[in-house]
Amino acid sequence: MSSSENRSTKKAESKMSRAHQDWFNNQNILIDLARRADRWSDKTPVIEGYEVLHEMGRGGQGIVFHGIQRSTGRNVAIKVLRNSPFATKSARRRFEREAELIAKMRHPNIVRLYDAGITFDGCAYIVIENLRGSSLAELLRLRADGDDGTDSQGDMTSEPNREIASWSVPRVLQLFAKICDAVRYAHQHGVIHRDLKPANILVVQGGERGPGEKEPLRPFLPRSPDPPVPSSPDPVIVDFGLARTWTDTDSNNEVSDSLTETGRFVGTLAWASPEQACGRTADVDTRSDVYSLGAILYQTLTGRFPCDTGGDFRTAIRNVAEIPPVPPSRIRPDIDDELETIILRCLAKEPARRYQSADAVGTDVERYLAGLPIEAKRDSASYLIRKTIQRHKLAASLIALLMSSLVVSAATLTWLYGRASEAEDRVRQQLAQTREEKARSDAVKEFLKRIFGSTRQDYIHARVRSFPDLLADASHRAGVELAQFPRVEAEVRTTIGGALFCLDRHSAAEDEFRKALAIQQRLLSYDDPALAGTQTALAATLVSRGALAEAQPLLENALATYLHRYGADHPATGNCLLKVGKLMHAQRYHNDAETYCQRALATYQAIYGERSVPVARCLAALGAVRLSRKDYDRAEEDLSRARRILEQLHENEHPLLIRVVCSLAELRLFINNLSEAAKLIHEAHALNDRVFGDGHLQKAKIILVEARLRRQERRLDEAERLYREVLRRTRDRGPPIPPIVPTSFSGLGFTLQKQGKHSAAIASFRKALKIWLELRSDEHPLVAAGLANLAQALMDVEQWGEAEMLLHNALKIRRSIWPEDHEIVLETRDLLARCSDSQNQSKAPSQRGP
Amino acid sequence: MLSQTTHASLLGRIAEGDQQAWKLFHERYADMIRGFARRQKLQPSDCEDVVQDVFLALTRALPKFSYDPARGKFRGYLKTLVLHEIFRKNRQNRGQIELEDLEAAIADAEVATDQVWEEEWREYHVRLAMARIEREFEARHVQAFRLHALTGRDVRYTAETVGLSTHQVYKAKSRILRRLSELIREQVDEEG
Repeated sequence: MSSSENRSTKKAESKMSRAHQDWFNNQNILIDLARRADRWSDKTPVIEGYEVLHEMGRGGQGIVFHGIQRSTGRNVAIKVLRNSPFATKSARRRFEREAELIAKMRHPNIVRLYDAGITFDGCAYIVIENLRGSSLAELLRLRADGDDGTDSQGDMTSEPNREIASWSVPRVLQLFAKICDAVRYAHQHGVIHRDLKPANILVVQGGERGPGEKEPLRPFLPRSPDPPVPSSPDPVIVDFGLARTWTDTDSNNEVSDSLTETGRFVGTLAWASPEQACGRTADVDTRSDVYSLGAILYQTLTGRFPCDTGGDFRTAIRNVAEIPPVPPSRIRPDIDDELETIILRCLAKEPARRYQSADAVGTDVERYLAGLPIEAKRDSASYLIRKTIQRHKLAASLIALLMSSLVVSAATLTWLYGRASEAEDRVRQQLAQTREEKARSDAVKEFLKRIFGSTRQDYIHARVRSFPDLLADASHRAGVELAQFPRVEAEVRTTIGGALFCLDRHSAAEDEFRKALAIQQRLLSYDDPALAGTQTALAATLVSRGALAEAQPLLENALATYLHRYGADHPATGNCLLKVGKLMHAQRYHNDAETYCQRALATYQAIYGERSVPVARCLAALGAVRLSRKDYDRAEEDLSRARRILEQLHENEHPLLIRVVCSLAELRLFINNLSEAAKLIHEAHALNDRVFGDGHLQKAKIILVEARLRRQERRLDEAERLYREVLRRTRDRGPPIPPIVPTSFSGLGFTLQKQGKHSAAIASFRKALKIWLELRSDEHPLVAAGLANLAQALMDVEQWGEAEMLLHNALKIRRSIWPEDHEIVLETRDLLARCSDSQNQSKAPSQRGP
Repeated sequence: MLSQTTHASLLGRIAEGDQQAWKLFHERYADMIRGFARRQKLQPSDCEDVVQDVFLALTRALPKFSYDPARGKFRGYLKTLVLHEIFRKNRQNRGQIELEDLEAAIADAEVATDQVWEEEWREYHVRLAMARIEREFEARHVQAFRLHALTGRDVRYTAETVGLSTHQVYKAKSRILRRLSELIREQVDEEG
């Protein structure tokens, strides 16, 4: 070594000396390093819920493992997209697309997808059924070998293979008809395969798979030694990647099938339609699959390709595009005129001259098999059903929201800096803390940029993925990519949770918050602001689904943390105060709720001034509280102020504005100003359709208010219809069931009651009560209301006994909440008395009778 | 395969021109060199070039490299070599610089990159030791270690997933960590 090398080596040594020498005795360092080292390795993946047994095959992009699903004991094949530098974004996208496409389909001749996700090492995977059998390509090769004089009936040939090996025309056509049916099914689900070829078709013993629709989760059963019913082989289409993902596993064989100079088209060109071969991708449609079907049939029957694709690439393409295939009957004399017509019709160069759908091919093949004349007519209607994934209008604005939340946190930081310089004694400490927070916030930002940067284009075009999927992906990736930064992971999860919450995916949001909280509880002290942030968010979610008891301690801790760490005039404190106010509101402690909302309002006003969204938010909450306590004047004032602020800020499409307008409508209903209410409801509908679209829960909430309006207008039939509409829209929600459902049942009950449909009303109230009992504690005021409503309906049909029992319980609850002279307690007492009297009266005559 | 041979005997066998030893050597160090190059902000394709160039240089140098722990560390030698190739790559990309400048730049960079190099080196040792661990320990225990210690899954979840008791998960973690320490100590000692 040269002297300079020696010198620098020594320098390095001295630097590394003591402190670093024993790094391998430090467990944290070891774990951290092992984690990083693991990312490089290419070992059996760890996949949640699966025992990954061994590798079944691998190709350029994917490795297929044999695995067992723990919960079901089912044998599965797990296909993992390799996380190498070659796993490009487009490969990953193709992989995801494949998963999405197969997941949509249930057909006995299409491989079933059980699951998809990301391994612990961050590789995408899909879990599909583990099929035993050989690909059609392998079987064709076997036959070719047999033709060459080799014995193809060796031990390696399994049952279905031997049957296929006879290759009689009807046998082939029966198999082919099933393939056509599968392709038809895919087309009807809006999926064009684009890469149909023998290597993508697995031939399994018939009857080995349960029927797709009926028994999708049936575990794979090993074949019994003596099959009871000899059944025909079943083809299963296994690959829905655009190209070369699954079949890569036997790409070596394909290369020998059809070697060309250009790697890209190897193995595919032979089955590609002229429009595909020439790269006219815009022209590719279902009829391109029809061509591939024809090519498969041609090859299976004759052992040759319809076009010569063996030469150089240019010639091969020209052959596919221009040279008509050799009539198959010249190669195989037992192919008659009609069958030849079917085959050549599939292989027409111009799509318009082919069969127009896989269905039409299959039908003609079946007619041919049955000895019927084939149909010559051409389908006019294309089977192409393009499923345009509805574009979330929210998408763009939510990305903006996420980004702006980062800006807000930057604002918070600026504020913290400012504050730090004011308070001399805490300068140092807070600056350090602030810097640390800034570093973390940068990490979050980077991560989000990666997630949204990479997929934003796709997503804006909304071709492939919806926003919630994107967030789900972000969640997966947070677990993997941020595993080394658990604190950042937690913050990212909180952000994702917030977005999911906005998107009305409450349980997914809750899940994210809980995960974040679990991490933070492990790593942070109980009074860390980050922990408090997650607690606040989780609590808000819990409040919205009525889990009030669990929300309370979370908010208590969060509020204490913020007040201690940040003091009263901080946005986080304000937010937490507001959440406490909403919790109190839900608990019906209206006085306290009002106080907290006012404190939150004061906090935000001090920070942001009057004209700001947070101030509007507080006013909206305050208005809702005052509405509940029937303080209509002040409620009106609050809500109008909130509305004015939002409008002044040009937040004309703010979700909050919808809620405010909705509350204003409710207010009008309470004061019986029905025409004004109707106007506001109309406005709320228009706003909602612009911002959320028709499917959002908010829409149902507006319809509920509308139903109330109709009820008050005495348009009972219309009201009934609207209540049922709300119930229809919300019936698949939950668990937990959103409170709007029991509320609608009650409203429907009142409507039916007024219509004189007593038994239906009773049923409706019973449902409401049952749900309230599920959602709330036994002593909740809403449970009491449910009891009283049902009791009154029962009294209408003179079922005094049960009504009395219900009212007793209602009274008990109400007395525990309100003082004895509260009007609601008095009202309940009154009802109970009436009930008891009536019961006595009705009993009396019957006792006197005999 | 990765860790069956000791570092010293590997260098010895390379000096004797053993092809298999070369393969092992490549397997061991390629990731580390690539990782280091990446962290020096090289393009992925350039990283691969650096890996190749370093091995080419080693091919020329190692047969003559008489391994003597007392003389200095192979680690330092390799680092100088890698840095040299990285700077050559950068020079290629950016245009010519003088040879003296290169030497000076390398001398500066050696100090500046100490930490990165050290990290890559440690990671390499951990990787080597983990390969041993995978052979020595039962697969379930290693899986439990990965799940619990590396991916941060909680103990109960880990135990259910791999089919061990929670106690066994804790035990697997501490035993594997202890063994990792031992193995790395051996490796480091042996490396000189």
